[in-house]
Amino acid sequence: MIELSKVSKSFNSAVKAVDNIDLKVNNGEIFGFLGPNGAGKTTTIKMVTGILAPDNGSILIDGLDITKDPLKAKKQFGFVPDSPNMFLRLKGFEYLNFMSDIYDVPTKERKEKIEMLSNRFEMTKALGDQIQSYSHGMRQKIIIMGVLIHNPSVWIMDEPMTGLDPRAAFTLKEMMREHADKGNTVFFSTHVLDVAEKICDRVAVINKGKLLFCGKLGEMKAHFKVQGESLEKIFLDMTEHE
Amino acid sequence: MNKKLLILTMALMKNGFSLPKEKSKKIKQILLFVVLALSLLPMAYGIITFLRITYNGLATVGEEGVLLSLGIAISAFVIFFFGLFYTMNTFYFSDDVENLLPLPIKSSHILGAKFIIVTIFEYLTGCLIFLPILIVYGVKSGAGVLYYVYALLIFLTLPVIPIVLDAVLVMIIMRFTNLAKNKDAFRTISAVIAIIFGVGVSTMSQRFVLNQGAGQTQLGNNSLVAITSNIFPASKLGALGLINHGSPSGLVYTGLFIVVSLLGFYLFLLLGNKLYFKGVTGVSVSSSSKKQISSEQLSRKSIRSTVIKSYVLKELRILFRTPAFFINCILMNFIWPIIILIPLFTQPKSRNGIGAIIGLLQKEGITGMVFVAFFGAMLFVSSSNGITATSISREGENVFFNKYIPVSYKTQIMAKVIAGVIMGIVGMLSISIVAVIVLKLPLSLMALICVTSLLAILFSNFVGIIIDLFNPKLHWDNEQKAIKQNLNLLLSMAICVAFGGLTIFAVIKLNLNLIQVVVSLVAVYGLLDSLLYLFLKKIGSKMFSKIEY
Repeated sequence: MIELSKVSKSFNSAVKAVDNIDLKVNNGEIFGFLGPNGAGKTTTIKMVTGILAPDNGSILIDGLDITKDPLKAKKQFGFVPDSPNMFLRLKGFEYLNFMSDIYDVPTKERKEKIEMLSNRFEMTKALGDQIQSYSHGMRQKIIIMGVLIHNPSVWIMDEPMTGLDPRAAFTLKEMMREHADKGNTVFFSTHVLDVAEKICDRVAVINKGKLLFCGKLGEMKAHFKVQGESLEKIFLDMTEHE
Repeated sequence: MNKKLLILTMALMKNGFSLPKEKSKKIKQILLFVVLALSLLPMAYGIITFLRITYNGLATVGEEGVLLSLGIAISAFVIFFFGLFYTMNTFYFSDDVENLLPLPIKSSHILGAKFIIVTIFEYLTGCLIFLPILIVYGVKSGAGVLYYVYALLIFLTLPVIPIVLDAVLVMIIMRFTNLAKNKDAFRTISAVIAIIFGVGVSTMSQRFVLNQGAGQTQLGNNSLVAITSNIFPASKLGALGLINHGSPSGLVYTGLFIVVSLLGFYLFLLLGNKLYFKGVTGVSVSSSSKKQISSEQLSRKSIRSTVIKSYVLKELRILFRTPAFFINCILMNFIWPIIILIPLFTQPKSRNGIGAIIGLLQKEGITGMVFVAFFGAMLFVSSSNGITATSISREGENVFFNKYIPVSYKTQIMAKVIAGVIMGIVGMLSISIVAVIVLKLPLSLMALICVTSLLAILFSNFVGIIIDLFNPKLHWDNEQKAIKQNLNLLLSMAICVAFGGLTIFAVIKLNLNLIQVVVSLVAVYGLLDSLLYLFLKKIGSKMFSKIEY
């Protein structure tokens, strides 16, 4: 579970990148975080994962405060950042082993996990090569595998579908569903409405740092209809800033 | 200068040297420059005093021109040596060529712009070595305005020939690495070969010069000029131009020097068009083996280890596998013993000198001095690899990774320190082996020196990481900038050199014997290291947590 209450963050104290956000992502649900570029999605995710410190408010992950008890809280989640260009000089299996050590995964379990994940993401032939030889999509896959290897209860992903081929995107969506169905939490950002529509149980829409909406997709359509605008129109409005 | 060439040079320069946008970071950067400049002042004073004394000594035998000719030859050599790294970095590791090729720019402009950037870098080297010589000679000989005009012209042209040699050498070697499958490894290996080749060529020519010079030192009237300038043939013209600035021949020599340099540059453009672009394109592409790892292999390779061990291993793997990091951080540890060894094997005369040194080292009462000299040298050597002084900077835009993993900042800092200490020890051992074999230092003494020097290595690594935590250079677009254009490395070296110098000075001043030296070094550096450790544990972790990209 992820709980944000009254969270704000500003850079250079002029503009608030995130403005007084309250958000609760429940166990057992896939939660989509929607908004155009520069809306505050990545800043929010960076605060949730402990990369940035919020100016105000509190963030709890499975009940643990990310600012007060950072190490324990960080063990609860796995994070897929928006750029997969990391550790390019490590070989695939070296990266997975490094992540396993960081998250304290026992030898037997990590081997099984590496085999299972590399089969599922069709990466078995790539593990012996350096990550810099991978395509963008393969890099994205190895980062996702590194996150899933320690079996975190909470998944946090920043634009995880970017660069994935249709089959890998399908696999990831399938795995997200399985994870949530086991009573875990999946929180991910996207600006592709289609993805959100297909897999999310609930969504939140953020723009200019403020939360515009939080609820089920059906409710969202109804919500904006009341205000006289179609869903497509709303998203076109949002994305025209890009 | 051609307009497009100027624009391109400016763009590449800006890309490399821009100050941070935020005011506080800008101030920090400028402050760093000032501290660095101040820390170099005592050295500059020392150099000028040394040059003045040398001039006076040479003037009594009518050989004052040697100061200039030697100055030009040595400057050209130093420029050549550093130029190997600069040309390799600017021409091959800056990863910008593939962005430039699709633009409507002539290939000679790309070559020219890169050449100018290296030349500007080298003016800084020239300022440190050549400028003081020019000024001291000018002032002491009471030279007129014309001397300074010639001096300026020669100062500006001097780097051209050495850089042309560097560039041609590097281009020839790099041209053929494209055939290789593993680009990183081949770039690294070819860089190593280029360095060894470069150092070899210059020592050979040095040997040649010294052998010739041995028979002719008594000639007087600046006749040494001709001999010492053999290292870089054209530099002779420069020296003669300056010495004869009073007569028309000075103008001819200076003119010729500039013409020869321009011809060299033209040759570089010609060769560059043939060699450079074929060698550099595809440098950023790397191939893969696409081999399946068997279940047994996976079992062997996926064994659980502690967080700190895994982290240190990750640091070292990246250092060894990234060519820019390998050349600057890893190779550095093996360069010092080679530099000690070169004169031994190339110059017969210095072997006698070594005999004298060995004799001196065997004397009673000098072991304390040997001890502290090695300790001071280790402070310098282990700071010169820059592993810890750039350890946060090297993370670059991926520094966020360090912040979301469940590993405390203290652990991460210590893992980075350990990686630096390991390579520091490797450097120390390589020097120790040379010292035991060549200088015939007793093994027991060397062992004691090594154990004590661990404190020096620890000290330089603590200093390095504190400086990098204070102001990491995270904004870089290719790996060499994280190190080459990182003032943190220079600052931590300056601090370690200052501490090393102070320590040696104190031991000489207090006239300590071996036991006193060991006890005081252990006490003082043990205390300093403990304080720095506590600082890192308490404040370093906080500094790390506040770092944002």
